[in-house]
Amino acid sequence: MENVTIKPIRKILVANRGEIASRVFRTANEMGISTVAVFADGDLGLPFVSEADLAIALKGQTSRETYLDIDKILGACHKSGADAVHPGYGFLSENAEFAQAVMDAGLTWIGPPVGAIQQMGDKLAAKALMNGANVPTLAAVELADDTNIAEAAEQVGYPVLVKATAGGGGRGMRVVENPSDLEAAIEGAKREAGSAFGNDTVFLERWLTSSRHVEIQILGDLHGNIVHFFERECSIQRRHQKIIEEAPSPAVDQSLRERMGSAAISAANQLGYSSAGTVEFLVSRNEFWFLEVNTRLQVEHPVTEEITGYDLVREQIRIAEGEHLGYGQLDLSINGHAIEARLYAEDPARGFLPSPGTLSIWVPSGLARIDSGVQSGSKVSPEFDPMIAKVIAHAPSRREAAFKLARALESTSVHGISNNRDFLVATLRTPEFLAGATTTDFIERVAPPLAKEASDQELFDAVIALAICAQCERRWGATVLSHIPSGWRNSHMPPERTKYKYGERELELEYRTNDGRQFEASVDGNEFEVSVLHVVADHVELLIDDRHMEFEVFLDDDEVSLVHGPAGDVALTELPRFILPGAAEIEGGLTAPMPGKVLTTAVSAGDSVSAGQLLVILEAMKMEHRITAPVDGKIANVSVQVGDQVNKDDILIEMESAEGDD
Amino acid sequence: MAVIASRLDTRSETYLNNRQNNLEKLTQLEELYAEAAKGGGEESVSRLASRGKMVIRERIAWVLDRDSPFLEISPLAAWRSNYVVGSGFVVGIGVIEGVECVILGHDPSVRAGAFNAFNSKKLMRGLEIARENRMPYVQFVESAGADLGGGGGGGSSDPEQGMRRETGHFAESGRLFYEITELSKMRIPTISIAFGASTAGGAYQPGMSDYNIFVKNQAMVALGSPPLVKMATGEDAENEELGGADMHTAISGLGDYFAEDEMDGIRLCREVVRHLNWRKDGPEPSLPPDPPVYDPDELLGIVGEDLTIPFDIREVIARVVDGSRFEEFKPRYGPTLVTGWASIHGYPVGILGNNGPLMSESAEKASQFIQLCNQVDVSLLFLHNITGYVVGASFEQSGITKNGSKMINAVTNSTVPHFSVIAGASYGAGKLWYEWTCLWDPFHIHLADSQDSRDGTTPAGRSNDHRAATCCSASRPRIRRRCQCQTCGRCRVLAGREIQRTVRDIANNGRCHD
Repeated sequence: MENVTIKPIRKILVANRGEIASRVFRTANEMGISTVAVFADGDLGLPFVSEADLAIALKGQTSRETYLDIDKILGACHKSGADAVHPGYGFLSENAEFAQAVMDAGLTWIGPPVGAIQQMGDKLAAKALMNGANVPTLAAVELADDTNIAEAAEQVGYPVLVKATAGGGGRGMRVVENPSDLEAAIEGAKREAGSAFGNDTVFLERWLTSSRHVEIQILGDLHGNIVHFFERECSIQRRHQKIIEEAPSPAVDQSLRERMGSAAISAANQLGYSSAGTVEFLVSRNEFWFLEVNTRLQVEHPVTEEITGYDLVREQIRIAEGEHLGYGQLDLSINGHAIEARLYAEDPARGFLPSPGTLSIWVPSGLARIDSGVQSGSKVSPEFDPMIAKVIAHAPSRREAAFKLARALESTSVHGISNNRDFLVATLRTPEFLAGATTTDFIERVAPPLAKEASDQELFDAVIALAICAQCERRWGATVLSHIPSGWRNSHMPPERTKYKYGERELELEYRTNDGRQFEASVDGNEFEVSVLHVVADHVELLIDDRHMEFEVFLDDDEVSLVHGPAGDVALTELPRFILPGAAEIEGGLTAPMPGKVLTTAVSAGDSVSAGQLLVILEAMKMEHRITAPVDGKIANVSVQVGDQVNKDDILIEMESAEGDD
Repeated sequence: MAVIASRLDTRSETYLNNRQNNLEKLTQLEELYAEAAKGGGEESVSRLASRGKMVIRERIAWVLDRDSPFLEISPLAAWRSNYVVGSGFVVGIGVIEGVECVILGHDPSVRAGAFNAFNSKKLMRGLEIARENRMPYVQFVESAGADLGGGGGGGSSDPEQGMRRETGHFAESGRLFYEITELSKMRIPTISIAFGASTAGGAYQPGMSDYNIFVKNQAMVALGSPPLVKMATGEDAENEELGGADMHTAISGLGDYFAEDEMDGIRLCREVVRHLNWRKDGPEPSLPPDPPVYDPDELLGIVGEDLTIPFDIREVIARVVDGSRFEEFKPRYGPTLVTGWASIHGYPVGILGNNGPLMSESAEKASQFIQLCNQVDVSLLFLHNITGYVVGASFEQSGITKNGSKMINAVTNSTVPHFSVIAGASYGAGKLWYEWTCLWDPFHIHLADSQDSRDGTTPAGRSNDHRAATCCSASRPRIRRRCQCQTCGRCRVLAGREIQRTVRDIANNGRCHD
């Protein structure tokens, strides 16, 4: 090992996407290294593609066709002239075959040795290895075809965790409290593991209900120097995926830290480890058990960076180039406290199910570190992980960090898709979190509110702010008399009126102004004197009675507008002033506009159709007449057949509006 | 262009007294506006609402582009008459789908929208503005016909007497159909929404329109109502079959659009205006529309209660024109009349403002200035504070009649838009000849505490609201080529301490107040 020569990296290809690709590019840029991105078809508009000096299309939609395709990625390396590959996390990051192929192609692999990846890829084998290195592990039994499941579970002890040997990211994991649920859980875990990792081997492990998930960041160079960067606690999870991570852990004191640190280092030594890695443990009452080693950079690495002041990506690159660490364990210390929250496109109200879609508005707060891979208008694809961003706050104390992070999340505008922002904010502010009572069952135990309900006052303020920006926009856009003040009247006329919807609640706004500066407003009958101190289409500074406030407003005429004020985001939908009578007509069915013959029926009963979709073609007066769906809906009945002769006003199709179906 | 240097002392006792006095006038004015806006009163309004019907101001508010300005014409007509203030009728200039339109209609809450002498004149005034400015004409139709009960405000309610009393405006209503049709001929679109009854002669209101929108279960448009049909032919006929929206849009074809309800009718009206792809006549504003340097609110302290105390009309100009910029013409000659160029809301204007009685020189200067404005098509703004043409032997010898005649000639033959603001006194022939109100077609705006003595009224107005600019830019009326003074009783602003005579007098005089 001592004969390693320095091999400087000039161009890094990141075999990954989104947030982590952007993260690596940022450090590479700082180090003067060129960057190459690879991207799937659907990712073309994401920031990481344009942030790279060069981006190569992998031409495909799915992970398998793109970020998991070793040949395509090596092809991209060749094409771009990259001399090093950073795998990020997920995808091929813990794929030994890929690491080997990268090195075989003469490129620098920014990651641990192939052997370490191989050994740690099988979780059961890893446990056995750790046992050998005197690192405590939890009882586990591999499930072979002939294993007596019930006995194995008894041996491990309930509650028992069913876990995929090749697993990661919470997939292929099931907790079983009750022997009767065991079989189904194993089947489910196998199925999930098989489809996610191509390997359906599962094992049983003791499940500690009220434990904590604490992991040690390790870093080793190619010269045999290994240090640990202290612990991170990642106990707050939903669906076995971490959502809030912090460093240091409130449950780890100096002596436990030292014990865990040396266990991690001995594990690393056992593996001949280099580059960044993470040794995961379960901790309960001053005891800890080895879970697994993640042979890559972790999603939650920023909290370690914040408290130690080291850029771990930079360290990875330096190590891969063959440099010495240049510091020892005693040179590292913990400075303050850092907490990371993962903002996901998911719906907390529906069991945190991913909710991909278009992120119409993304304006991150300036209060915290934001590692994100999106921008306003980005699509969160159902193909990939629905994480929008990581928000990381660093402060002298844990409480300050928690408050800062909550505030940063609150003052981040995120809109267009369901997300867990309000849930994260609520979680960070629970007394339990602030007390450090973070165990893996935190969410079930504490059950923070899943969504935020704006107070009346917050709603009224938001409605006023939205209306004032909207009128400003309309006056700017006016094609005539745009120089006359907003709402000018020389006599007494009714006020401007608008109705908004906040969730299911309807709010009615009225206002008058004669100069566009002073408004008399009323929301649901509550009256306000409003002075507009400054207004442009997306920002307004108001004095509402005696309260001075500023709001960012994201107007959307047809959809939901977002008002971002001191209380965070409030999403409001403006109700249409005029209702098209068309929607009501379809109840009676779609009728023939004139006598004719039915040429085609394009739908059948039960079909869902969208507005404008062709339903029937009618031939009349030697012309084809296309009868289309007036609104989104469902076909209740097709009353005619091809060849039928129909009279004017005969019902052709009966349709149900999609309203309320959602 | 130089900014006017104001010498107004806003801390002087005179200023403060004037201001106090004018604020009181404004309060009175506000009360009158509020009264006009009440229409037929709460009971009547809520009865309509229970039937899904709106009052005229509501209908207009919904048809307008959101937050766009609305300039109501003669909102206080019929004040101190037997009829309600505003005469149960609203007419104004508003923006629909980015198009400036004349919008008008009867208020169904006031005597079921019946016609009377005042609102007939307001209606005709609306037609006139549409015609002169080439603005689409939008009428909200709902009227019980002629008000034979004299407005219900006392006096005789005998229908026969009522018939005799209303003969005059019956004759005029023929003119109404003529003028709607004339707009079509002039290729100015006319749109009717039938919100309710419109029978007999009233049926021609939609009948003569280019576009007709009929509101379901409300519109009733027919030459004869059921009782009349019964009397005339013995036929029993229902409202709906005689003149309902369903019938007219599906069978007679009189209606072009079938509206589900009032809001739907308003929606359809907006759609019709949208497809017109219309732009009113005249050029766009071309100069920077910055506000005056001096606060228009200070207008309140300029004109005093006692109109014999003079004030410098430049102080008024400084608070009306863009950036208070004013290029004075011939300042050293005929100084009792101030003339010069400025802009209001970006529209170039030529201003003539009195600073004393009209002398021979000032009359001559006015003639020259009016001609210069006509040469380059710049609108004229007259700021009245005049006690008349000067009289006496020496003035006659210096040619006051000759030069006065020249001025009348110049005003008569001017073809640019005229706007008049009664800023102070406006007495005698000086006023009449000076702006030729009864013959021409200016917008007529009264400033606070101004006094208009020919008909003995002292109308007051609001200060910054009545920046002539608003009027100017909102409507740009153009001068007419023929006299219709007997049909244009327009009463815009009426308040003040000395008003003894009613608006009716003004209307009968053929006076023009918007």
